[in-house]
Amino acid sequence: MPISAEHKARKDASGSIPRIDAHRYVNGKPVYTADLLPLGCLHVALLRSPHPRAHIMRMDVTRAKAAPDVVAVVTATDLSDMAPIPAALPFRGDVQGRGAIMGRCLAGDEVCYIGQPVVAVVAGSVHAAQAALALIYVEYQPCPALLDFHEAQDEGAVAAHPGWTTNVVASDEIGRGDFDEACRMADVVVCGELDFAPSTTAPMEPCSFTGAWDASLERVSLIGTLQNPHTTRWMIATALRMPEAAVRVVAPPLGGSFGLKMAGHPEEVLVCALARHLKRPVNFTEERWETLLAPCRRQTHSFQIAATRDGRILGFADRFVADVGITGPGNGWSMPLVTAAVFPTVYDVEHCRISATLVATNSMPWQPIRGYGKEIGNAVMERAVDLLAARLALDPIALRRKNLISADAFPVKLASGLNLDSGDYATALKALIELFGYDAWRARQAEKKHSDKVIGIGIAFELTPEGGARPGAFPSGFETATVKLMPGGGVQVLVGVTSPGSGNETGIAQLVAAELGVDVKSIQVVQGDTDVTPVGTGHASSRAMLYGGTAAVLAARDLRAKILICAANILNRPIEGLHIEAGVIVDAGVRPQALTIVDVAHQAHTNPIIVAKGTELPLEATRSFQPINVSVVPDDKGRIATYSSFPYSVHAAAIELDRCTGSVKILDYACVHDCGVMINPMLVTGQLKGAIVMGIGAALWEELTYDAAGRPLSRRFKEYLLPRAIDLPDIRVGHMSTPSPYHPLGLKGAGESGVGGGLAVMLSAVADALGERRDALTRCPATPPTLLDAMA
Amino acid sequence: MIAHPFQYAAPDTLDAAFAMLAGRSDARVLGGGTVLVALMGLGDVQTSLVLDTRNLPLSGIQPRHDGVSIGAAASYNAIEGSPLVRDTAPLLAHVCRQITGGRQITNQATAGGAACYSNPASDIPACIVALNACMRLGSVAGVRAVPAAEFFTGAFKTDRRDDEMLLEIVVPASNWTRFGYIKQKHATSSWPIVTAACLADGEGNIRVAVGGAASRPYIVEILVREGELPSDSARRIGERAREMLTEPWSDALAPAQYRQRIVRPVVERAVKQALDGQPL
Repeated sequence: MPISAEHKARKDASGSIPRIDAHRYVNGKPVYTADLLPLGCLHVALLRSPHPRAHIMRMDVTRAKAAPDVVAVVTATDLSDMAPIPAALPFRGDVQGRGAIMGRCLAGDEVCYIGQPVVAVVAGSVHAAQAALALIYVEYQPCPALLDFHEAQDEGAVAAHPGWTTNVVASDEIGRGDFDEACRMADVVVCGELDFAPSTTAPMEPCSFTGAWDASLERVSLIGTLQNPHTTRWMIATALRMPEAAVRVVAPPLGGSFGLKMAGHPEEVLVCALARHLKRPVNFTEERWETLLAPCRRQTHSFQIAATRDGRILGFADRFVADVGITGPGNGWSMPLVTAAVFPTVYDVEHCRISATLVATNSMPWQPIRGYGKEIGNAVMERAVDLLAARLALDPIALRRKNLISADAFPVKLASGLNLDSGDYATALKALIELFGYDAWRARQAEKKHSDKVIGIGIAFELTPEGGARPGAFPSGFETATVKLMPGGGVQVLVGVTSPGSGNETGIAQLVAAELGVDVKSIQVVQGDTDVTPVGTGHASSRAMLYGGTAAVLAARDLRAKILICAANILNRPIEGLHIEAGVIVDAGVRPQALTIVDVAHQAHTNPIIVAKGTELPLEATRSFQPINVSVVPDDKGRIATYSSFPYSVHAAAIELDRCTGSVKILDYACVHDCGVMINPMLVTGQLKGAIVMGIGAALWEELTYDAAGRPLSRRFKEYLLPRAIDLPDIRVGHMSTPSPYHPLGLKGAGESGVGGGLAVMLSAVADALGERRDALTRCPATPPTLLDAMA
Repeated sequence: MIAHPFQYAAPDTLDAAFAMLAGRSDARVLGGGTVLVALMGLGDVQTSLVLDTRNLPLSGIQPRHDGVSIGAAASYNAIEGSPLVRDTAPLLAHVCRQITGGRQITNQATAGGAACYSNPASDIPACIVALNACMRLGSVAGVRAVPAAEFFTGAFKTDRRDDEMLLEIVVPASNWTRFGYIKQKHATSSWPIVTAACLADGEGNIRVAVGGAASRPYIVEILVREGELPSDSARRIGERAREMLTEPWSDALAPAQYRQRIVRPVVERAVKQALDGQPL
């Protein structure tokens, strides 16, 4: 695999070292939110709405209040002094009839989705709190609800949101060239449809939040399962009408997250309000069925692809509607806007017309999910290319090869205005064909053609815009790091990005260690404490290394300069020849010095007037990083481009489809991935494989189901089927590195990539196995009943 | 978390257990708890009394003159590991070996509990119906025996009265020399959608119990008359299994129509597996 440009991060920063905190995980020692309950902590249970839409006529909580061990029963009336929770991402532009988001912790006089919190019971035990829920009387007057998002834009449709007169949450029209003209020039125009059922994140650790009140300082604190602690702090401060300095938010290690734990759950704020009200610590921990309430991905696409007879793609159009439910404070609702922005992915397509409409229904607000809408766009694009290949009787690889953006064309703009940084898609495809053994698999497929169990082979590209820097989002396109040399000689890094358990703390430590010339073990990375770490977004959009790691490098370079000034003062040597190697100050061309970085730290703090001459104590530096490959000023089409980084991958899979039962077994999987310069390839590979597995699950099995009244039927892992290890083949990964010319270290985002490829390649393989019936696959996940329907 | 309060008892004699159940309609008997505890946590089952079988003499596996007795509280692991079961009812040992969930489940969960739960989408009902097992139930009124085929009366319904508990599943010795078992499910974590448990004797006699397809297991058989040569039996039984399925079961994972479509190939494969396999 080529490393095609200068490796801009220090070479000694890279390496597949184990995670610096691995010992804690393998020994079962990480401390999660629910392990950190303070003494005397109270527990919250929530009475949730059983109706998608109803007026609350009357409520009686007296019996619940009198129940054993119950401390308080709280309704919206008790929280009337609170302000609404602000939106993590405000609406852009105007939509006639669109009102405010649902920013209240508890429903007031009406409910607008099943699962909406209505009453909070606070008790001495989880058991007592949950038991008291049965004693609450709420008289609901159900009213017409909007459950089917296909009806959302009908004349006279019920408005799902109280106070709105439209169901349109947002829309986007993206155009380039003239798609109609492309159709006129084309020899063939292939149409298709693809519906995505709702699925969810399903982390091992459910959400858990502990609010506490410090009476002496008059401060509130929250410890919780949080991806964006600073955003959450701002939401709490705003809703509780407190200064941000009076709110501390701490995010301990997470047991999986995948977007679910981004800011915006009403419970994050609720436990703080309850703690302040009761002057006692209060915890809310979800039950598994509550974790499975958060839906996402429900979209229905109708696409067209126009091409010449020999397979040159001239145009692509897609019109889709996404059901984003009720819009709450989180930013999950905006994911379909990113779906629209990713077209036409890695392909050079002159004429594009994309139309996206996001509609509200009376269902739970979306929480973000890994892929963030990009996975859907990639799956739709790959589906269109596959159907075109079948129509033209071309090999899907040959068709792709013919239409890939060429390596020398970069930078290249997508129809949405996103500016692709760099890539070499054709080389990636070539490498994949070898890694996968494409021809051998096609031969095996031909042998089994007439059997009950046929083989399907899928190919799919994924383009993954990363480093989201959306104007208006809190916070947005920057990250900050402070690097400190402690008086005892250790190094501490404070950074605004957080870790979902992916290992970014290790990558950041590797970068800082290389810049400072010290051992990675001497570095402590502190994340997820708003009292200590700089303001930042947390983790989202693969930004931890891309932004946070880069800020840490810049700060480490400044700190190194300070350390060398001190060393020069101690050694009485010119600074020019000094550098640091393995924690020792080295004087180029002279004798090795006995002076270590520990000595410098000690002497700078104890003898500052001499040692720190010419620099400024303390021995620390704070730097921020902002991406350059974004444009937030609208262009002549009114578009902005808010992703700076474009990793990509190409996937191949072989599956076996049982024609009698519709069940699918995955036989083989290979992927070639390019996220530019990698700091720790082992950790990148781990994240990539996990993402691929999420994509496989979403393609084949994972689906939230509901009854006709909108009640969730998927309440545990017997109804929501996640892939297990034995459902999966060995995933073979090859890496390429095409550094980003827009990033100082050549990095592109890593960690999210793979979901879209996994999703798209499974749909591609299953459709390939369907053969003549491939067009009949119009629904995802491709469960056995769906596939049997397609074959019928 | 189980929200509602309930009484828990783990009596150490059957008489004490029967006395607790007598006159009650909402008590629940706890086997391994892998179903009951989860359903109580979800609030789907509410009960005033959980009667734990852990101290009762119900986990043994013993020979009977006419077969083998499997205690109601015997775990899947104990059943699968029993030489007696492997000899007398290898189909049952085989089914217990592939229960979803691995050792953590099979060490804990019981075949007796699964039988009493009578979930159409589970392994045990069709398996013990195929084996012509007999369910022995106890209460203060005494002990009675019910053939497995009559025990399962519908989805999540059995012939067991509220004041009764299952004591043992008696599997009779038989002349079957071969078996096949197909469990069709979506993925590893899925519950079974349709199962087919097949027994054969090498002379053309074949008996299949179909699980998951309808709300209770049903039997499809070919019994050879003297002089008749069986031909194409797998296809014939599969076809008949499909014809007999007039009211297919439906649940969150698969609609009725799907079950209707796959019952034939699933049964056919179980028969082929039995006929193609080595005689026992």
